Amino acid sequence: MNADKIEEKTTIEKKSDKIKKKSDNKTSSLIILAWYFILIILLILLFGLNIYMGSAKINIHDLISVLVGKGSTLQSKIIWNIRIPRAFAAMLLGGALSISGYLLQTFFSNPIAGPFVLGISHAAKLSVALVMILMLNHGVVVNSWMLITAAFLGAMLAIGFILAVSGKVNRMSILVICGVMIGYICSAITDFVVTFADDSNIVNLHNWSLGSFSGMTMDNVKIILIVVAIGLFISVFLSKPISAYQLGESQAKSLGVNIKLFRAALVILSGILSATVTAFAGPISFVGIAVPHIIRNLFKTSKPGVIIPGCFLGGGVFCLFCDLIARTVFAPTELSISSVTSIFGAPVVIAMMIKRQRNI
Amino acid sequence: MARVLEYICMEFFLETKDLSVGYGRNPLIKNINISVRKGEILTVIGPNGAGKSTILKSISKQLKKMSGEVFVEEEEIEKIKEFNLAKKLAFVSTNKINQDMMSCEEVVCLGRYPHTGRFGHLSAKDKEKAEMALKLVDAIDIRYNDYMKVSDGQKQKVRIAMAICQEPDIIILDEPTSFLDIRHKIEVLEILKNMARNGTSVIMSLHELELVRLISDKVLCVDEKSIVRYAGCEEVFQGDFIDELYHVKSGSFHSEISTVFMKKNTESPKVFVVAGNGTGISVFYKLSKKGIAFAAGILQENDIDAYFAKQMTEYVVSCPPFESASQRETEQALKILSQCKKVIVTVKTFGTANKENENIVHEAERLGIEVEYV
Repeated sequence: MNADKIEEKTTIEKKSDKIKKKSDNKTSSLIILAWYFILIILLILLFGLNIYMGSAKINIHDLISVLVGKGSTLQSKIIWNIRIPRAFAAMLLGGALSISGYLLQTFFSNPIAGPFVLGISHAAKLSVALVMILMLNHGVVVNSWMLITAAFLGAMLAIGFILAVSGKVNRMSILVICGVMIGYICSAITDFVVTFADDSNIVNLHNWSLGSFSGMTMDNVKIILIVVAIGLFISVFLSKPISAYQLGESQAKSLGVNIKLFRAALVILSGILSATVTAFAGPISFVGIAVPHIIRNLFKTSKPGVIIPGCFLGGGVFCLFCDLIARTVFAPTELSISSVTSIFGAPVVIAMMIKRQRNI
Repeated sequence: MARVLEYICMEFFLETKDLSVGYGRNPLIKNINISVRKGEILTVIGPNGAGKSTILKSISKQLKKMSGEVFVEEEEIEKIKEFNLAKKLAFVSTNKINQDMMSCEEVVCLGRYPHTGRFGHLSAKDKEKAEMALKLVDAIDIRYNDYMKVSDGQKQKVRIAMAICQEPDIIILDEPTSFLDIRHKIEVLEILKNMARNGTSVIMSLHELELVRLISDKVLCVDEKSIVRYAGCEEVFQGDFIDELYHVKSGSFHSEISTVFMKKNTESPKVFVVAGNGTGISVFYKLSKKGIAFAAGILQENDIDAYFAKQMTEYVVSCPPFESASQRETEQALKILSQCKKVIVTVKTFGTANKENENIVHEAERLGIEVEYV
């Protein structure tokens, strides 16, 4: 009698457990939808704040009249030629950087990989600086595509080096140390080159080489939009093989992934995305690691199909937020964007590493 | 006749011809010729580092083969596109899956990878198949649990469920039972056996020799970088072949009773165990563990006690099966007994076939040797 009761109780418990877990599964997709919604709202809000706030005070009325095509010429110049392109750039490049980080993390099967810590951003920076100086000395006007190409080649060299090292030692900590060293070397050479170049155009390089979204034009934004849109599109297309690759290389192979092709696609795509960021805004720290980590933890899933768009939105929000701080906190003096992203990004990375160690 | 032959040939799901496998330039193992029929189970055994994994990886295209041919359903493996191969052949490796925030069900669903579209969207049919696979491996209760947080045994079952989801004709597993507890070892083999019964060919490597026999149709023995035997269980598990294959120097693996023994104690015996009918085994174990040399007798050679005693001591007095002890054997037993300081009797009763044992006990009492009944 008693045993029967206990049995009955446990079956009831099991049933309610099952019901609970099923609803868990449904709520998880609701959570993801809710976060998408929140991220989009934040993106719009921060975009608005970014064009509203700045060293030149423009009140709401004036802002609205500028946006509808009236307002004074000075204000409209500030809004349309400076703030709006800059906000667009921060949003798109932030998204690109996060996706680039996510792809590298997939490639190395390690959440600590990213374009900044692996020295990819710095190598791209050096190569852009060299190309700019070389071209300017020969009186050639440098266009955006040339910059992206130069940055991409630099990025590929750095990735190639990291891959060569990873063939010998397959420990992420060593790869990161190598990456950081590459970063220092490239930064040092860039500083050298920039310091000794006396052309007035190159003086601007100094700001850029520290990382900044300033000086963006609508033409820049168009090019960024094209590259980033293509990059995002291809990344989403890669989400199926990424999901298999998350189970490890041999499992992915067994499931029918063409590993060589897939790995090449990952490297080239993340290279293009981080190169674009560097070409326009210089090296930006920690976004590529922190944002994918935050998104994974908010979404509570690892499905690449939802994480990749999430990373894009999250990166946009993060960079708009950081750029807002960089521009406004000590206005009219501007902070470099990396100083701000480091303050918010580095603690996330540290927390993540501690959590990982504890799990092991 | 020709048609019948053709039909039989078609039945080979996987076949190799003069396959050489290895890493880098030097082939590790040459001349591998195996053929696995529909629903057959082939087990690869051999010492560590012999190249079992290398063979398994090469026939599943995880590793590039050095020379020779591998046919998967009559098609050369190199010519099959990854995507199509995945529909025919699933490989379960020993590599750990290290991905958090993924439920067991999501892992299993990835098995549908070769069957889904460009974005990997799961249809209702795909989900149904995943659910069936989870039920087959008895892991439906943990479907929503985080894969990283379930036990090793459950992980392995989930991985096999993923392979089942792939709906392959051939499943290749590298040490599927390693690091699992005995319950999960048995469950995993049970799952594989059922898969084979439903027409899937199973190729795997195993370290647990006692399990090999339970499940394998054919056994491929790899040693010192070569194939030493490729045969059915009967030919592999006989005599000292297993000891030779694994270069067992101290102790032994007894093929008939699938049990492992440590080195025999060769000192002259201090204890005489009067055993029979399996009652002596636990006493034998106790004595050998403590390093006490013992003798056992008089055992009929078909008695399970005799199998164990012979692996643990040199001093076993035995008589032919279904016979009672002869005069000579009794004398031999008494001779050993006279040197012992103690007699342990594990049998409860003495019948017609072991009445000599009763005499031995009486003789011991007469000699003043301590007699203990267990």
